[in-house]
Amino acid sequence: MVWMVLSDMAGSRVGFPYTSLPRIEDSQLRANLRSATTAIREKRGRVVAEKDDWEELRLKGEQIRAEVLNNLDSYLVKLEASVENVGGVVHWAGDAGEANEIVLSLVRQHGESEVVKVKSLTTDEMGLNEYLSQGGVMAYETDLAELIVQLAHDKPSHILVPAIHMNRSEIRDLFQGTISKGTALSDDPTVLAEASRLYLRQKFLSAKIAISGVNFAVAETGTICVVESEGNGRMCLTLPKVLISVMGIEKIIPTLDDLAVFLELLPRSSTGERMNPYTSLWSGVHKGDGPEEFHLVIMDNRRSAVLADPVGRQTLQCIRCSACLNVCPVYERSGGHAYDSVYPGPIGAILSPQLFGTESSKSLPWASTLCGACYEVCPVRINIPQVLVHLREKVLTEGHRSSSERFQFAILSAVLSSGSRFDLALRTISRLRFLINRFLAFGSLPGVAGKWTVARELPEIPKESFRVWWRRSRGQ
Amino acid sequence: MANNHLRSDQPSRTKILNLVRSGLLNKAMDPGSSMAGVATRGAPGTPLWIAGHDLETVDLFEEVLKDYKARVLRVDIEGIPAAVAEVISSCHIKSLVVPSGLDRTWYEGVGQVQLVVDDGSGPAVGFEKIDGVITGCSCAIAETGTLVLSGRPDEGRRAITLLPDFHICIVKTEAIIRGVSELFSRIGVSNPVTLISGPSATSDIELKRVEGVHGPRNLIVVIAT
Repeated sequence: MVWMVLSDMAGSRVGFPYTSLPRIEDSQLRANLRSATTAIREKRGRVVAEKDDWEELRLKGEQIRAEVLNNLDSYLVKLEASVENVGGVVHWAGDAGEANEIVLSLVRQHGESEVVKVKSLTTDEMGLNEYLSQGGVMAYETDLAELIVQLAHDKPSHILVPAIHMNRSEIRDLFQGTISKGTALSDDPTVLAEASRLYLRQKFLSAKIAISGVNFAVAETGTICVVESEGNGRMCLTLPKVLISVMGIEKIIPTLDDLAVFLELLPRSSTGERMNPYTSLWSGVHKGDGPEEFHLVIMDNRRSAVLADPVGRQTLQCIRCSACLNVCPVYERSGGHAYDSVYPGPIGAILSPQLFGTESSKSLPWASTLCGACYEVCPVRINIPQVLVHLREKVLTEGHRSSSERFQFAILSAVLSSGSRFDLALRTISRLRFLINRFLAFGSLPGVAGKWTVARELPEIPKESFRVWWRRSRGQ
Repeated sequence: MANNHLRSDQPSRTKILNLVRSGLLNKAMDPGSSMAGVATRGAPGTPLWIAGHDLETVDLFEEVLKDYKARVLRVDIEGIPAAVAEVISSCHIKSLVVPSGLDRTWYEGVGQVQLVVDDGSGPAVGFEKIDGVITGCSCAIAETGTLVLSGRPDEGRRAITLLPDFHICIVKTEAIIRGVSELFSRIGVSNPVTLISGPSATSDIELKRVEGVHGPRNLIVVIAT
């Protein structure tokens, strides 16, 4: 089907079929992805199997997230009041541009030209680093993988492991050319982690402003939760004087007890650990411990439009664990860059078209076999296949159907709706088989149909159809 | 500060809330309508580690901690000072920071060690030059091997457990709960809360777990009965 959609975009050559093609041919990338996703699938399987109540937890997770979304206006107001009550300042941003402006003006108010950052997909979505850099502010990524990606002037290819597309020797070479110039490094991950520790420690100790995302914001208490592994998050959340945290409007959890459910679901789903090494919770400003100023930026950026779609709404339940990426047969072969979005994989295939609506993201609902593995592992039970099908329909009814496609389907409908017409069609094709098979000998069909045979082989047309053979051999 | 950010100054607040409200006029589908995707069980086969289910809570806690490559010592309450002294000497810890609310008898006998007692005043920068830290622990979770620090006087501020390379944490058995679901009946969030599960780690390179990136690279847990 996707070639039909693409035939619409002919000439522009945008979208998943084009962006995935060079990745699929990159055997090093495929090897890196295969070993990484296999390893993490096994880890997740082991720790999930330990929880007898896993399915119950998933149901709870789904119910809590759905409850928040279905009453999002009152939870937003409640969160705002709670955060202000504990000494935080709340800012509202309608879109990414406004969120960027708010952050940059806060940094400027403090006269700083450098900030340290905790890995945050939301700020990646905003293009915050680029915006700050244009405004004369350098943002240092402190998560190891984000640092690797930043040093390589690359883009993240996985929600959780942004440098999953690079192997250890590629990273060693990168470090030797950048943060560890003049030092001989081995490709042992321990050595590479040590190199980043040495490089970043001074940054942590001298930075005045930190920027983070938000894993969960508890409406009841105004408590913000950030989940991480390396300790770079704790450094950023504890040492600088000013902390700016950016969240999408959907990241709310009603109560602390609800939060406990997600502290079980998230680490087991995402890194396959019983618990991630560090989880930080803070409620506004704490005298004598941590930042003296806390700003929370709450950003919409089209999430309210996703909320308005009764089928699409569940997309906002996502807690960004990336379990769906690791089980997806399409992701495992194409890698994250093929999705051309901050949000790759199955969740990206439904989130990106709804959030961004770009030409390339409109092809993403087809970047799936609809096998449903993503739904089975999703800790908040987002029915990704259902949303994929819904979005396919939406893309096609919103004018992405060419007249040639309409014509093709009109013919198909006419043929398939009548037994005699179907029979006639089969006989005609069998009669023309010498002609068609000659085309097939060249490996492709002519014209637009040729796109279909770029990556597929048509079987030879047989002398007679099954229906004809049945009637002839079994008699009537 | 709040004066600079009067709500009326933020037209986006009204705009976003209005968009959300109008979006919610469309009712979402019933989430419970489909049970597809609910597996009856996790991964097939016998889990490697499921033996933990039969363990007593304290033993389970110890097993999970060891799985994170933390060092675990089990002692009686009276045995804490000796255990602390042993760790300090075997890890060659030359300088130590402790929160001012920590039981002094636990560390008084550690011998030739430069000692900083932190009462939370003064800058956090400087702790990176100190080798180790000793803290208590308000709550620990057995199933996940998690130490929960919530800013009590024997736990101190966050920076002291972040910058030194060795974290020695004393956990009394009565502080250990079974699972995460009990956590917030034990601790509040009026202070910052940090959940620590093993030493600092990363799996960012080929998903190989490496202990020790930015936080303490060595976690030593003394479980005291």
